[in-house]
Amino acid sequence: MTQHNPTALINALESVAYELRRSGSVLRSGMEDTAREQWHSEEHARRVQGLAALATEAAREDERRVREAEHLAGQAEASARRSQERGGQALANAQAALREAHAAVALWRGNLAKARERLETARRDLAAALSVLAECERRCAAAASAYRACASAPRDPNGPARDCSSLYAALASAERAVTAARGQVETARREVSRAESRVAACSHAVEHAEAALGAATRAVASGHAAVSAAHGALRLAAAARQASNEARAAVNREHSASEELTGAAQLAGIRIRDAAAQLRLAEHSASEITIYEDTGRGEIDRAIEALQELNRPGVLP
Amino acid sequence: MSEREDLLWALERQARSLADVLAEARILWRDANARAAEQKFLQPRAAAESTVLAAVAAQHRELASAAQAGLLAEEKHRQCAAESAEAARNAAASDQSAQAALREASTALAQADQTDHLAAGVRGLIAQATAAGSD
Repeated sequence: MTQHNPTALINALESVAYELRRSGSVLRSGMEDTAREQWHSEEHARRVQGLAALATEAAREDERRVREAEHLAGQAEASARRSQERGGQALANAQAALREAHAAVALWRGNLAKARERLETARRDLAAALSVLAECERRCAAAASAYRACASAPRDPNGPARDCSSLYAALASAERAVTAARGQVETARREVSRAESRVAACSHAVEHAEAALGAATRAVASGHAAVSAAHGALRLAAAARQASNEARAAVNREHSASEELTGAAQLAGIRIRDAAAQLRLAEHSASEITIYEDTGRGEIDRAIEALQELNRPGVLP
Repeated sequence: MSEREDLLWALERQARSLADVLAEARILWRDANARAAEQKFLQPRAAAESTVLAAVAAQHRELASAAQAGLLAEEKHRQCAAESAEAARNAAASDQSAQAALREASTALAQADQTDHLAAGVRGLIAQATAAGSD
Protein backbone atom coordinates (compact mmCIF):
# COMPACT_ATOMS: atom_id res chain seq x y z
CA MET A 1 0.00 0.00 0.00
CA THR A 2 2.80 2.45 0.86
CA GLN A 3 6.53 2.53 1.42
CA HIS A 4 6.29 4.97 4.32
CA ASN A 5 5.55 4.63 7.96
CA PRO A 6 1.88 3.59 8.23
CA THR A 7 1.36 5.68 11.32
CA ALA A 8 2.47 8.83 9.53
CA LEU A 9 0.29 7.95 6.58
CA ILE A 10 -2.69 7.29 8.84
CA ASN A 11 -2.17 10.71 10.37
CA ALA A 12 -1.94 12.30 6.95
CA LEU A 13 -5.11 10.60 5.75
CA GLU A 14 -6.97 11.53 8.91
CA SER A 15 -5.95 15.13 8.31
CA VAL A 16 -7.27 14.85 4.76
CA ALA A 17 -10.54 13.36 6.03
CA TYR A 18 -10.82 16.15 8.58
CA GLU A 19 -10.18 18.86 6.00
CA LEU A 20 -12.63 17.27 3.62
CA ARG A 21 -15.34 17.35 6.29
CA ARG A 22 -14.42 20.91 7.16
CA SER A 23 -14.45 21.90 3.51
CA GLY A 24 -17.87 20.36 3.12
CA SER A 25 -19.12 22.30 6.12
CA VAL A 26 -17.57 25.59 4.93
CA LEU A 27 -18.92 25.03 1.44
CA ARG A 28 -22.45 24.33 2.66
CA SER A 29 -22.34 27.36 4.91
CA GLY A 30 -20.87 29.47 2.10
CA MET A 31 -23.53 28.33 -0.35
CA GLU A 32 -26.27 29.14 2.15
CA ASP A 33 -24.76 32.59 2.71
CA THR A 34 -24.34 33.31 -0.95
CA ALA A 35 -27.91 32.12 -1.65
CA ARG A 36 -29.07 34.50 1.07
CA GLU A 37 -27.07 37.30 -0.54
CA GLN A 38 -28.74 36.46 -3.82
CA TRP A 39 -32.17 36.56 -2.19
CA HIS A 40 -31.46 39.93 -0.56
CA SER A 41 -30.21 41.32 -3.84
CA GLU A 42 -33.28 40.03 -5.67
CA GLU A 43 -35.48 41.65 -3.04
CA HIS A 44 -33.59 44.92 -3.48
CA ALA A 45 -33.88 44.69 -7.27
CA ARG A 46 -37.62 44.05 -7.00
CA ARG A 47 -37.97 47.06 -4.70
CA VAL A 48 -36.01 49.23 -7.13
CA GLN A 49 -38.15 48.01 -10.03
CA GLY A 50 -41.24 48.87 -7.98
CA LEU A 51 -39.79 52.35 -7.40
CA ALA A 52 -39.17 52.69 -11.14
CA ALA A 53 -42.79 51.78 -11.89
CA LEU A 54 -44.05 54.27 -9.29
CA ALA A 55 -41.73 56.99 -10.63
CA THR A 56 -42.94 56.38 -14.19
CA GLU A 57 -46.55 56.66 -13.04
CA ALA A 58 -45.77 59.81 -11.01
CA ALA A 59 -44.00 61.38 -13.99
CA ARG A 60 -47.03 60.60 -16.18
CA GLU A 61 -49.36 62.18 -13.61
CA ASP A 62 -47.07 65.22 -13.23
CA GLU A 63 -47.00 65.59 -17.02
CA ARG A 64 -50.82 65.67 -17.06
CA ARG A 65 -50.85 68.18 -14.20
CA VAL A 66 -48.29 70.48 -15.89
CA ARG A 67 -50.24 70.35 -19.16
CA GLU A 68 -53.31 71.51 -17.26
CA ALA A 69 -51.32 74.35 -15.72
CA GLU A 70 -49.95 75.32 -19.15
CA HIS A 71 -53.46 75.28 -20.61
CA LEU A 72 -54.82 77.46 -17.79
CA ALA A 73 -51.88 79.87 -18.12
CA GLY A 74 -52.63 80.13 -21.86
CA GLN A 75 -56.28 80.88 -21.12
CA ALA A 76 -55.21 83.55 -18.61
CA GLU A 77 -52.88 85.15 -21.18
CA ALA A 78 -55.59 85.22 -23.86
CA SER A 79 -58.17 86.59 -21.42
CA ALA A 80 -55.74 89.26 -20.17
CA ARG A 81 -54.97 90.35 -23.75
CA ARG A 82 -58.68 90.56 -24.55
CA SER A 83 -59.32 92.61 -21.42
CA GLN A 84 -56.42 94.92 -22.33
CA GLU A 85 -57.84 95.50 -25.80
CA ARG A 86 -61.37 95.95 -24.47
CA GLY A 87 -60.20 98.32 -21.70
CA GLY A 88 -58.28 100.41 -24.23
CA GLN A 89 -61.35 100.71 -26.44
CA ALA A 90 -63.55 101.68 -23.49
CA LEU A 91 -61.04 104.28 -22.31
CA ALA A 92 -60.83 105.80 -25.81
CA ASN A 93 -64.63 105.88 -25.98
CA ALA A 94 -64.82 107.59 -22.59
CA GLN A 95 -62.14 110.14 -23.55
CA ALA A 96 -64.08 110.95 -26.75
CA ALA A 97 -67.26 111.35 -24.68
CA LEU A 98 -65.35 113.67 -22.32
CA ARG A 99 -64.23 115.84 -25.25
CA GLU A 100 -67.82 115.92 -26.54
CA ALA A 101 -69.08 116.90 -23.07
CA HIS A 102 -66.48 119.68 -22.78
CA ALA A 103 -67.55 120.96 -26.21
CA ALA A 104 -71.25 120.82 -25.22
CA VAL A 105 -70.59 122.70 -21.97
CA ALA A 106 -68.63 125.38 -23.82
CA LEU A 107 -71.33 125.66 -26.50
CA TRP A 108 -74.22 125.98 -24.08
CA ARG A 109 -72.42 128.31 -21.71
CA GLY A 110 -71.72 130.55 -24.71
CA ASN A 111 -75.35 130.34 -25.82
CA LEU A 112 -76.50 131.14 -22.28
CA ALA A 113 -74.30 134.24 -22.17
CA LYS A 114 -75.71 135.39 -25.48
CA ALA A 115 -79.28 134.76 -24.28
CA ARG A 116 -78.62 136.77 -21.14
CA GLU A 117 -77.24 139.65 -23.19
CA ARG A 118 -80.34 139.49 -25.37
CA LEU A 119 -82.56 139.53 -22.27
CA GLU A 120 -80.78 142.56 -20.90
CA THR A 121 -81.24 144.36 -24.20
CA ALA A 122 -84.92 143.40 -24.33
CA ARG A 123 -85.43 144.65 -20.78
CA ARG A 124 -83.73 147.95 -21.63
CA ASP A 125 -85.91 148.25 -24.74
CA LEU A 126 -89.03 147.58 -22.64
CA ALA A 127 -88.03 150.22 -20.13
CA ALA A 128 -87.51 152.70 -22.94
CA ALA A 129 -90.86 151.79 -24.51
CA LEU A 130 -92.60 152.22 -21.13
CA SER A 131 -90.95 155.60 -20.73
CA VAL A 132 -92.11 156.67 -24.19
CA LEU A 133 -95.62 155.43 -23.42
CA ALA A 134 -95.73 157.41 -20.19
CA GLU A 135 -94.66 160.57 -21.99
CA CYS A 136 -97.21 159.99 -24.73
CA GLU A 137 -99.97 159.38 -22.15
CA ARG A 138 -99.00 162.55 -20.30
CA ARG A 139 -99.13 164.54 -23.56
CA CYS A 140 -102.39 162.91 -24.49
CA ALA A 141 -103.87 163.83 -21.09
CA ALA A 142 -102.70 167.41 -21.55
CA ALA A 143 -104.20 167.56 -25.05
CA ALA A 144 -107.44 166.11 -23.80
CA SER A 145 -107.55 168.60 -20.99
CA ALA A 146 -106.90 171.46 -23.41
CA TYR A 147 -109.54 170.24 -25.79
CA ARG A 148 -112.14 169.80 -23.02
CA ALA A 149 -111.37 173.28 -21.73
CA CYS A 150 -111.91 174.67 -25.22
CA ALA A 151 -115.06 172.70 -25.81
CA SER A 152 -116.62 173.57 -22.45
CA ALA A 153 -115.73 177.34 -22.36
CA PRO A 154 -118.81 179.68 -22.24
CA ARG A 155 -119.92 180.80 -25.66
CA ASP A 156 -119.79 184.61 -26.56
CA PRO A 157 -122.82 185.27 -28.60
CA ASN A 158 -121.17 188.33 -30.05
CA GLY A 159 -117.86 186.81 -30.55
CA PRO A 160 -116.58 184.67 -33.31
CA ALA A 161 -117.42 180.97 -33.28
CA ARG A 162 -115.12 178.86 -31.15
CA ASP A 163 -112.54 176.93 -32.98
CA CYS A 164 -111.29 173.82 -31.05
CA SER A 165 -110.32 171.91 -34.14
CA SER A 166 -106.61 172.36 -33.68
CA LEU A 167 -106.89 171.12 -30.11
CA TYR A 168 -108.93 168.22 -31.31
CA ALA A 169 -106.33 167.42 -33.93
CA ALA A 170 -103.61 167.60 -31.27
CA LEU A 171 -105.64 165.31 -29.06
CA ALA A 172 -106.13 162.85 -31.87
CA SER A 173 -102.44 162.94 -32.66
CA ALA A 174 -101.57 162.41 -28.97
CA GLU A 175 -103.95 159.47 -28.81
CA ARG A 176 -102.32 157.90 -31.87
CA ALA A 177 -98.91 158.38 -30.26
CA VAL A 178 -100.16 156.61 -27.13
CA THR A 179 -101.52 153.76 -29.21
CA ALA A 180 -98.21 153.46 -31.03
CA ALA A 181 -96.25 153.58 -27.77
CA ARG A 182 -98.47 150.88 -26.32
CA GLY A 183 -97.73 148.74 -29.34
CA GLN A 184 -94.00 149.30 -28.81
CA VAL A 185 -94.35 148.32 -25.15
CA GLU A 186 -96.22 145.18 -26.07
CA THR A 187 -93.58 144.24 -28.61
CA ALA A 188 -90.83 144.88 -26.07
CA ARG A 189 -92.63 142.75 -23.50
CA ARG A 190 -92.90 139.87 -25.92
CA GLU A 191 -89.19 140.17 -26.70
CA VAL A 192 -88.38 140.09 -22.98
CA SER A 193 -90.52 137.01 -22.59
CA ARG A 194 -88.81 135.27 -25.51
CA ALA A 195 -85.39 136.22 -24.17
CA GLU A 196 -86.31 134.88 -20.75
CA SER A 197 -87.44 131.61 -22.30
CA ARG A 198 -84.19 131.42 -24.22
CA VAL A 199 -82.19 132.01 -21.05
CA ALA A 200 -84.16 129.29 -19.27
CA ALA A 201 -83.63 126.84 -22.15
CA CYS A 202 -79.94 127.58 -22.31
CA SER A 203 -79.70 127.20 -18.52
CA HIS A 204 -81.27 123.77 -18.79
CA ALA A 205 -78.91 122.86 -21.62
CA VAL A 206 -75.94 123.98 -19.52
CA GLU A 207 -77.17 121.86 -16.61
CA HIS A 208 -77.43 118.80 -18.87
CA ALA A 209 -74.07 119.49 -20.44
CA GLU A 210 -72.45 119.88 -17.03
CA ALA A 211 -74.07 116.63 -15.92
CA ALA A 212 -72.66 115.05 -19.08
CA LEU A 213 -69.23 116.42 -18.19
CA GLY A 214 -69.43 114.87 -14.72
CA ALA A 215 -70.53 111.54 -16.15
CA ALA A 216 -67.76 111.69 -18.75
CA THR A 217 -65.19 112.34 -16.03
CA ARG A 218 -66.48 109.26 -14.18
CA ALA A 219 -66.39 107.28 -17.45
CA VAL A 220 -62.75 108.20 -18.02
CA ALA A 221 -61.89 107.18 -14.45
CA SER A 222 -63.73 103.92 -15.04
CA GLY A 223 -61.83 103.41 -18.30
CA HIS A 224 -58.51 103.97 -16.52
CA ALA A 225 -59.58 101.43 -13.88
CA ALA A 226 -60.40 98.94 -16.66
CA VAL A 227 -56.97 99.46 -18.26
CA SER A 228 -55.27 99.16 -14.88
CA ALA A 229 -57.11 95.90 -14.13
CA ALA A 230 -56.14 94.60 -17.57
CA HIS A 231 -52.48 95.43 -16.86
CA GLY A 232 -52.78 93.54 -13.57
CA ALA A 233 -54.26 90.59 -15.42
CA LEU A 234 -51.38 90.64 -17.91
CA ARG A 235 -48.82 90.76 -15.10
CA LEU A 236 -50.47 87.82 -13.32
CA ALA A 237 -50.78 85.88 -16.57
CA ALA A 238 -47.05 86.41 -17.20
CA ALA A 239 -46.33 85.10 -13.69
CA ALA A 240 -48.54 82.08 -14.40
CA ARG A 241 -46.64 81.42 -17.64
CA GLN A 242 -43.30 81.74 -15.87
CA ALA A 243 -44.37 79.26 -13.19
CA SER A 244 -45.76 76.84 -15.75
CA ASN A 245 -42.47 77.04 -17.69
CA GLU A 246 -40.59 76.19 -14.51
CA ALA A 247 -43.00 73.33 -13.88
CA ARG A 248 -42.38 72.13 -17.45
CA ALA A 249 -38.60 72.21 -16.91
CA ALA A 250 -38.99 70.27 -13.64
CA VAL A 251 -41.23 67.64 -15.18
CA ASN A 252 -38.81 67.25 -18.11
CA ARG A 253 -36.01 66.64 -15.63
CA GLU A 254 -38.30 64.24 -13.80
CA HIS A 255 -38.94 62.32 -17.04
CA SER A 256 -35.21 62.13 -17.68
CA ALA A 257 -34.47 60.91 -14.14
CA SER A 258 -37.36 58.43 -14.37
CA GLU A 259 -35.94 56.98 -17.60
CA GLU A 260 -32.51 56.66 -16.00
CA LEU A 261 -34.15 55.05 -12.96
CA THR A 262 -35.94 52.56 -15.19
CA GLY A 263 -32.70 51.82 -17.04
CA ALA A 264 -30.81 51.28 -13.79
CA ALA A 265 -33.59 49.05 -12.43
CA GLN A 266 -33.56 46.99 -15.61
CA LEU A 267 -29.76 46.71 -15.48
CA ALA A 268 -29.99 45.58 -11.85
CA GLY A 269 -32.54 42.95 -12.92
CA ILE A 270 -30.25 41.68 -15.67
CA ARG A 271 -27.27 41.51 -13.30
CA ILE A 272 -29.40 39.71 -10.72
CA ARG A 273 -30.48 37.12 -13.32
CA ASP A 274 -26.86 36.62 -14.39
CA ALA A 275 -25.88 36.22 -10.74
CA ALA A 276 -28.69 33.69 -10.27
CA ALA A 277 -27.32 31.67 -13.20
CA GLN A 278 -23.87 31.68 -11.60
CA LEU A 279 -25.41 30.68 -8.27
CA ARG A 280 -27.19 27.75 -9.91
CA LEU A 281 -23.89 26.65 -11.48
CA ALA A 282 -22.14 26.94 -8.10
CA GLU A 283 -24.93 25.01 -6.36
CA HIS A 284 -24.77 22.27 -8.99
CA SER A 285 -21.01 21.96 -8.54
CA ALA A 286 -21.40 22.09 -4.76
CA SER A 287 -23.85 19.17 -4.91
CA GLU A 288 -21.27 17.23 -6.97
CA ILE A 289 -18.67 18.01 -4.35
CA THR A 290 -20.95 16.56 -1.69
CA ILE A 291 -21.19 13.33 -3.67
CA TYR A 292 -17.41 13.23 -4.21
CA GLU A 293 -16.85 13.88 -0.53
CA ASP A 294 -19.16 11.04 0.50
CA THR A 295 -17.25 8.73 -1.84
CA GLY A 296 -13.88 10.13 -0.81
CA ARG A 297 -14.48 9.88 2.89
CA GLY A 298 -15.49 6.23 2.48
CA GLU A 299 -12.36 5.50 0.46
CA ILE A 300 -10.11 7.24 2.93
CA ASP A 301 -11.76 5.58 5.87
CA ARG A 302 -11.18 2.21 4.25
CA ALA A 303 -7.57 3.12 3.51
CA ILE A 304 -7.09 4.16 7.13
CA GLU A 305 -8.65 0.90 8.34
CA ALA A 306 -6.36 -1.07 6.04
CA LEU A 307 -3.35 0.81 7.31
CA GLN A 308 -4.39 0.30 10.89
CA GLU A 309 -4.75 -3.41 10.17
CA LEU A 310 -1.23 -3.47 8.78
CA ASN A 311 0.03 -1.50 11.69
CA ARG A 312 -1.23 -4.01 14.25
CA PRO A 313 1.58 -5.97 16.00
CA GLY A 314 2.30 -9.34 14.41
CA VAL A 315 1.11 -8.40 11.01
CA LEU A 316 3.93 -8.24 8.51
CA PRO A 317 4.00 -5.42 6.04
CA MET B 1 -14.38 43.87 3.26
CA SER B 2 -18.01 43.18 2.45
CA GLU B 3 -19.84 40.07 3.62
CA ARG B 4 -19.62 38.64 0.11
CA GLU B 5 -15.87 39.21 0.02
CA ASP B 6 -15.59 37.56 3.45
CA LEU B 7 -17.59 34.61 2.22
CA LEU B 8 -15.50 34.10 -0.91
CA TRP B 9 -12.31 34.59 1.07
CA ALA B 10 -13.42 31.85 3.53
CA LEU B 11 -14.20 29.43 0.68
CA GLU B 12 -10.86 30.10 -1.03
CA ARG B 13 -8.98 29.83 2.25
CA GLN B 14 -10.59 26.46 3.01
CA ALA B 15 -9.82 25.27 -0.51
CA ARG B 16 -6.15 26.26 -0.04
CA SER B 17 -6.08 24.57 3.34
CA LEU B 18 -7.45 21.32 1.86
CA ALA B 19 -5.03 21.59 -1.03
CA ASP B 20 -2.11 21.96 1.43
CA VAL B 21 -3.19 18.91 3.43
CA LEU B 22 -3.65 16.89 0.24
CA ALA B 23 -0.22 17.94 -0.98
CA GLU B 24 1.34 16.68 2.22
CA ALA B 25 -0.69 13.44 2.08
CA ARG B 26 0.30 12.80 -1.58
CA ILE B 27 3.95 12.66 -0.52
CA LEU B 28 3.18 9.66 1.74
CA TRP B 29 0.13 8.13 0.00
CA ARG B 30 1.24 6.91 -3.36
CA ASP B 31 -0.18 3.42 -3.74
CA ALA B 32 -2.97 2.09 -5.97
CA ASN B 33 -5.61 3.29 -3.53
CA ALA B 34 -4.14 6.74 -3.74
CA ARG B 35 -4.29 6.71 -7.50
CA ALA B 36 -7.84 5.40 -7.39
CA ALA B 37 -8.80 8.11 -4.89
CA GLU B 38 -7.27 10.77 -7.13
CA GLN B 39 -9.25 9.61 -10.12
CA LYS B 40 -12.51 8.82 -8.37
CA PHE B 41 -12.99 11.87 -6.22
CA LEU B 42 -10.00 14.07 -5.41
CA GLN B 43 -9.44 15.45 -8.91
CA PRO B 44 -13.18 15.71 -9.82
CA ARG B 45 -13.80 17.37 -6.50
CA ALA B 46 -11.03 19.86 -7.09
CA ALA B 47 -12.48 20.66 -10.53
CA ALA B 48 -15.94 21.10 -9.06
CA GLU B 49 -14.49 23.27 -6.31
CA SER B 50 -12.81 25.49 -8.92
CA THR B 51 -16.13 25.78 -10.68
CA VAL B 52 -17.85 26.70 -7.41
CA LEU B 53 -15.25 29.36 -6.58
CA ALA B 54 -15.34 30.82 -10.08
CA ALA B 55 -19.13 30.80 -10.18
CA VAL B 56 -19.46 32.35 -6.73
CA ALA B 57 -16.89 35.01 -7.66
CA ALA B 58 -18.83 35.73 -10.87
CA GLN B 59 -22.11 35.79 -8.95
CA HIS B 60 -20.62 38.30 -6.50
CA ARG B 61 -19.38 40.50 -9.32
CA GLU B 62 -22.88 40.49 -10.83
CA LEU B 63 -24.43 41.23 -7.43
CA ALA B 64 -21.97 44.10 -6.91
CA SER B 65 -22.87 45.47 -10.33
CA ALA B 66 -26.58 45.08 -9.50
CA ALA B 67 -26.01 46.89 -6.21
CA GLN B 68 -24.31 49.74 -8.09
CA ALA B 69 -27.26 49.93 -10.46
CA GLY B 70 -29.59 49.83 -7.45
CA LEU B 71 -27.75 52.73 -5.81
CA LEU B 72 -28.00 54.72 -9.04
CA ALA B 73 -31.70 53.84 -9.24
CA GLU B 74 -32.28 55.03 -5.68
CA GLU B 75 -30.43 58.26 -6.40
CA LYS B 76 -32.56 58.78 -9.52
CA HIS B 77 -35.68 57.99 -7.51
CA ARG B 78 -34.77 60.74 -5.02
CA GLN B 79 -34.20 63.07 -7.95
CA CYS B 80 -37.57 62.10 -9.43
CA ALA B 81 -39.29 62.83 -6.12
CA ALA B 82 -37.57 66.22 -5.81
CA GLU B 83 -38.43 67.20 -9.39
CA SER B 84 -41.99 65.96 -8.93
CA ALA B 85 -42.36 68.16 -5.85
CA GLU B 86 -40.86 71.09 -7.77
CA ALA B 87 -43.23 70.53 -10.69
CA ALA B 88 -46.23 70.29 -8.35
CA ARG B 89 -45.19 73.47 -6.52
CA ASN B 90 -44.75 75.42 -9.75
CA ALA B 91 -47.94 74.05 -11.28
CA ALA B 92 -49.88 75.13 -8.19
CA ALA B 93 -48.28 78.59 -8.31
CA SER B 94 -49.10 78.82 -12.01
CA ASP B 95 -52.72 77.86 -11.36
CA GLN B 96 -52.99 80.41 -8.58
CA SER B 97 -51.59 83.24 -10.75
CA ALA B 98 -53.70 82.18 -13.73
CA GLN B 99 -56.89 82.17 -11.64
CA ALA B 100 -56.02 85.61 -10.27
CA ALA B 101 -55.30 86.81 -13.83
CA LEU B 102 -58.67 85.50 -15.00
CA ARG B 103 -60.40 87.31 -12.14
CA GLU B 104 -58.55 90.56 -12.94
CA ALA B 105 -59.39 90.21 -16.63
CA SER B 106 -63.04 89.66 -15.73
CA THR B 107 -62.95 92.77 -13.54
CA ALA B 108 -61.35 94.72 -16.40
CA LEU B 109 -64.05 93.59 -18.82
CA ALA B 110 -66.82 94.53 -16.37
CA GLN B 111 -65.13 97.91 -15.84
CA ALA B 112 -64.93 98.40 -19.61
CA ASP B 113 -68.66 97.64 -19.90
CA GLN B 114 -69.34 100.12 -17.12
CA THR B 115 -67.20 102.71 -18.93
CA ASP B 116 -69.12 102.22 -22.16
CA HIS B 117 -72.38 102.49 -20.23
CA LEU B 118 -71.24 105.78 -18.70
CA ALA B 119 -70.08 107.06 -22.10
CA ALA B 120 -73.50 106.21 -23.57
CA GLY B 121 -75.07 108.14 -20.67
CA VAL B 122 -72.80 111.11 -21.47
CA ARG B 123 -74.01 111.14 -25.05
CA GLY B 124 -77.60 110.89 -23.84
CA LEU B 125 -77.09 113.94 -21.59
CA ILE B 126 -75.47 115.85 -24.46
CA ALA B 127 -78.51 115.01 -26.60
CA GLN B 128 -80.78 116.21 -23.78
CA ALA B 129 -78.77 119.45 -23.59
CA THR B 130 -79.19 119.92 -27.32
CA ALA B 131 -82.90 119.25 -27.06
CA ALA B 132 -83.29 121.58 -24.07
CA GLY B 133 -81.32 124.35 -25.80
CA SER B 134 -83.38 124.00 -28.95
CA ASP B 135 -86.70 124.60 -27.13
